[in-house]
Amino acid sequence: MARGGDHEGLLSASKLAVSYGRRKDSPNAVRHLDLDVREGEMFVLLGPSGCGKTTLLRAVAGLQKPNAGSIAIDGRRVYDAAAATDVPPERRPVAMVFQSYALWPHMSVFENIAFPLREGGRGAPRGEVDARVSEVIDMLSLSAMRDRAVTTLSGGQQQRVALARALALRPRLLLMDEPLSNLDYELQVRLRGQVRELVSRIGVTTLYVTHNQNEALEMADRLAVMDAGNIRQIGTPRELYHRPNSEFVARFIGDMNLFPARITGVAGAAVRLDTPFGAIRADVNCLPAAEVGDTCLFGIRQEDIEIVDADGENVIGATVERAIFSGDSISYRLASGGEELQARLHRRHDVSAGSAVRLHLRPEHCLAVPLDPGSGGRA
Amino acid sequence: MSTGPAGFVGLLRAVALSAVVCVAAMLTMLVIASFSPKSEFGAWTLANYADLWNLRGLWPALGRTFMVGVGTTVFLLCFALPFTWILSRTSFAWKGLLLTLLTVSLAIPAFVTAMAYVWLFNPNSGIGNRLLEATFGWSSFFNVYSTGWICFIQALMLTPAAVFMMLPSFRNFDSTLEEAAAVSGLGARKTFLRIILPTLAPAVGATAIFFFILAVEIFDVVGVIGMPGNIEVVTTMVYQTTYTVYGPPDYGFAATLGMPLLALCAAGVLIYLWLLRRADRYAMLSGKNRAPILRDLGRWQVPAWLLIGFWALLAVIIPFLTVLWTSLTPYLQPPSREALSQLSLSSYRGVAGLIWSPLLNTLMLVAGTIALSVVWSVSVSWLATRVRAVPDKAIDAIVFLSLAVPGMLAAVAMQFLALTAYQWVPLLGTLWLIVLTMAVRSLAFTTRTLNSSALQIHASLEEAAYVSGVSRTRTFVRVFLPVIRPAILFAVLVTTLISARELTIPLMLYSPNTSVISTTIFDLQATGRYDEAAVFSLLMIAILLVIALLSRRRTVPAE
Repeated sequence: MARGGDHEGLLSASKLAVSYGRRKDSPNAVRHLDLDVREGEMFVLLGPSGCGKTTLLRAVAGLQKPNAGSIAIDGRRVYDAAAATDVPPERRPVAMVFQSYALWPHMSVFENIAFPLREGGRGAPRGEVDARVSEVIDMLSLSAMRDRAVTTLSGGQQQRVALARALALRPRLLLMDEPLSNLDYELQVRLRGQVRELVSRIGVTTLYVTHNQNEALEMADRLAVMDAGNIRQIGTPRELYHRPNSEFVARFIGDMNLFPARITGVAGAAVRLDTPFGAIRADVNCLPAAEVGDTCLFGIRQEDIEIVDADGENVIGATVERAIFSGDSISYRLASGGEELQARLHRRHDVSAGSAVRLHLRPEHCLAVPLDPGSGGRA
Repeated sequence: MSTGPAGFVGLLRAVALSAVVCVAAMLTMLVIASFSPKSEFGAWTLANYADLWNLRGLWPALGRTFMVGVGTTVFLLCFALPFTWILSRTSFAWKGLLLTLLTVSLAIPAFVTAMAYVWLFNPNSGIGNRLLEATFGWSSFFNVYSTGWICFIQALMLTPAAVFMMLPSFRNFDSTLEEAAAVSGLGARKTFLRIILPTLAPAVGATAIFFFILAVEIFDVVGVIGMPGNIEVVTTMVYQTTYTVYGPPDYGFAATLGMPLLALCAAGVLIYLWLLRRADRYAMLSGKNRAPILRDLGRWQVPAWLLIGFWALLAVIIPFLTVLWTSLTPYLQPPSREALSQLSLSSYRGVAGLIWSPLLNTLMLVAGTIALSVVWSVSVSWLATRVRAVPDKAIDAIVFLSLAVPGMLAAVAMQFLALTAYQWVPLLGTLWLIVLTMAVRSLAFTTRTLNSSALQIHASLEEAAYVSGVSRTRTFVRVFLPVIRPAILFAVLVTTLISARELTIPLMLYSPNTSVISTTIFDLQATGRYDEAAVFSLLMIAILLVIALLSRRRTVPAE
């Protein structure tokens, strides 16, 4: 996707720090992070609430002034603490979809979309406004409500108007701040696909903020997991799911069982671990450097655990403590080696509470994950 | 939102700063005046304070001022609390009528009502007293010249404002709190005493304090009843110091006299703010409020009707009929066959020639006050709710301080300022001095109204315009102003109503060329031209009625 010869992406931030308070010693919401978004990609910022993802987005938009570092959009410095550059939001080549949609209540659908085109510094020539509005209205199937007051629209319709208003500006960079979080679940799931499809068809570079990991995984070309103002890992959804680089990411994405472990052997990509369940072979080594004797975490996802009949490598004994039937799958709470495991299995493995089972933890699904400092390996 | 071209923020700060300068000048001048001999600027002296200390009658007047405040507030709550309760928490079928009555009563200025009661119940020639004497043989049954009547009339006139002030908190009261008490086994009486009352107490307390401040500072009723009746309170003493028969007015001593009143009002404002914060805290406790449970009045239906009827009769019907009757009769007399034969429109014809200048001045006064007040408060509110930097919050706080300065003292300060600055700024004796003073006085209310509206509107509406490339100025004009337009309109209507009715400030500052309707009525009354005063009052009521009815839709949000 990146243009040939371009080292910088469409959006790049370096050593960016943003603090909430006005005093020098106020805690930082964003702590000296670097970010590089490539042209045309859908880049998602994912993290728990309060991790600084919205603050980062607002700093890119120019709505929140950073304290340090720099931001460049489309090769142009829009913020640079050292050079005291701070381009106001109205002169940055962006458009933004707000969590609250921020539709202007005193204007119709048409006027909401046309207003920035007519009055804004990045608008369209007078003669083109109507055509530009009609284009996005058609694109988002809003023609039936073109002249309606935005206050009479449903949440889903308002969301589409907000997106249309942003796209009509033909921004170089589209910023989306939890745009689906105010919708009910069904609609959210349906719109994820539609938004993803629309944005990639237009090809606009998008920075998308969400706290919902499913939404992030489904929509992103690449995503960044944020925690306490830092970016913990950047990668494609598959990379983050399969090879989390930290305990935080491993816990945050997917439903992962994590247990304290010690490395007893290293063999190429695989490591042998001493775990509460005995010796386990883990083929997915996410450690930057694995040495025998190091402590780490042993991880396996709930859906990767299997119930088997025969003993063998990576097979452990366990007791079913509780089974919750939820239709397509059954969730188990299992006890083994003094630890508790969560497993989600296909409904064909229907075992009642109290029974003893053998669990196969396939080596290719077993991860060795670095410990986060201070966590002690426990949630 | 801390970014943005400094230019636009700078422009609005300059506008807001001019308001701050006026407020600060007013406060400073008041203090300086109190240390100045007569009306001489800057000749520092403590003589005024020494005079104040030795003034006979100061302590009784202070005590009476306090009593007027307490008495008015107590009477006021006797009407306002039941009315607010009926409107917000019961299924009373005639709420619309009660609301209309409350709104209509806003059209009768307090000094007109006070006048009507003087015409009715002054001990010598009151129409009502003579009627009672003729019918029952009771001579001089009522004496309007008493502290009790002053409190009662003030309470009658302040009732609608108090109801409109308390109504939102009563309506927003989360009825799940009551339901929780009920399902936890508490009876209706206990629920009322232990749950509802404590929860609403801060809001009611804040309203009580607010109207206490108003009651000690308004001049309308004490001016009309207290001065001829020799009932001295602080405001009448200040007024008489500036309107002496012999010698020039002594604004220095007037300011000194006002200092105890200023202290009383400032303390009141502090308590008011403290209570308001408590009320807010309670309001925030519950996220999603359910509509209040409307209770049947049941056997309380009759007392409710009696109270409403009593108030409407005394606050609206009797004053209006008295003014109408007085306007048609050549001198004060009770209705009789003889009086009916003397009815004429001659006083209307007499007034026709006098009317144009006060009417025009009133219109200019209202228009000027609104223009200045809106421009100032819109700027202050935008800065205080959108930029929110330290200077913006300071501007907002200083502007709000003006609430603590009673209208009469504001007038004394501005008059002293105009006298002092006469050579540089010729404001003395002009309508603009009155406009400026009234606009400064209105700021506390208008900025509060706009602030609360602007805070409810998420800043993302404006941010959405910025990120779409729209400039600060265009966003302000095309997004911020239209979105808070209902609040602006409401502030304009209330300011219109208040400034058109205002007596105190124009009375202190007017000159022969700048008399307005209210001062004309006051002077006609003071010189015994009752019939002409009545005609002017009717004119004023007619104008105010239109504004009051226009604002009804906005003062009282639909349920």
